[in-house]
Amino acid sequence: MSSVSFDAADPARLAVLDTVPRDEITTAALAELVELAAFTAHTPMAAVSFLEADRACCATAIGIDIECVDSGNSFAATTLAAGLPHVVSDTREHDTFASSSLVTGETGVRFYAGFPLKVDGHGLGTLFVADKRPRHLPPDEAHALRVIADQASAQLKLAQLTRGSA
Amino acid sequence: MVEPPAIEREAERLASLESIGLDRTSEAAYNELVELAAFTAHAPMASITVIDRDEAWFKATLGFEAEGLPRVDSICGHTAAAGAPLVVPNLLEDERFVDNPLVTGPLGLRFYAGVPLILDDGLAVGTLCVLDQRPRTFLSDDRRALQIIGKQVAAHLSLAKQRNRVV
Repeated sequence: MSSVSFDAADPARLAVLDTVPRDEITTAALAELVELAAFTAHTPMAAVSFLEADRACCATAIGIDIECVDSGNSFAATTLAAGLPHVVSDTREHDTFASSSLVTGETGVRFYAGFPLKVDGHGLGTLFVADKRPRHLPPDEAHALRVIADQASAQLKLAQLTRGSA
Repeated sequence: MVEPPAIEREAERLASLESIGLDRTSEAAYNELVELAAFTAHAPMASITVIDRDEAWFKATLGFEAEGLPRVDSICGHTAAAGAPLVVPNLLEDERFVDNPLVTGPLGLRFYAGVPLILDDGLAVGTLCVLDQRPRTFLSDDRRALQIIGKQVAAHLSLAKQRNRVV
């Protein structure tokens, strides 16, 4: 398994994560963006997940029952390590994810496209879409999803400014 | 032609608009959102329209270039006044708009779908709309997507207002 050169436990990152209230208002706003992402990419699954020190947890999701996964082989950590949109057309052909519970379990993720959510320069989580079958992501859909992810980041910033502890 | 109805709490609404400190400068966040609205609706044109005292001006446009138009001629003025989504599949078949310059003029609009941009105070400062030069249908999924994107535009306006307050 390839390792991820991203320190999920970085105290500076976790400190920023703490300043963003993940309350009902934030979750409701993110849920709408997740719905929009699934609609835009025509996928049965979409979610926003936050990367904590040792696990990645879905704050809101469509078509995914798993709440948290280990950060070691998580899609979120890999996406945040790259700091860029991360598209996996077929997870079974990908070293890091072949053993992820999202891939091996009932959820059976084959296609994944994740986009970093950043606040104050730190990657806090991801917005992603997923499918049970391998597929490609056309450039115009990728662009639209990046815009939707930027909106999710803006919602986190708004939450921090209006209701946060910063 | 039917002019947009007057908006309740108009003075308060204009004060709210002013507190955002929005100007006509092109800003990436708004440009991206009109692009997203057009993409998800498969529409060739979209705009974020600010309903100001006498003018409806564009914060962002896609597929057409314009500064603004008199508020009385604005279809978006109707959406803001209603405070609710407005979908007109064929503008020629709606007496409010059949002789509107946007319909009869060079832009030749036929289809309109818009949502109000409502801030925390419940007041609509403008609209997000998608447009087409041919009549078309707009399904409930399309409407839902436009509403979600409209809320994002409103969130940016709230963020701008918030930052104005902090500075």
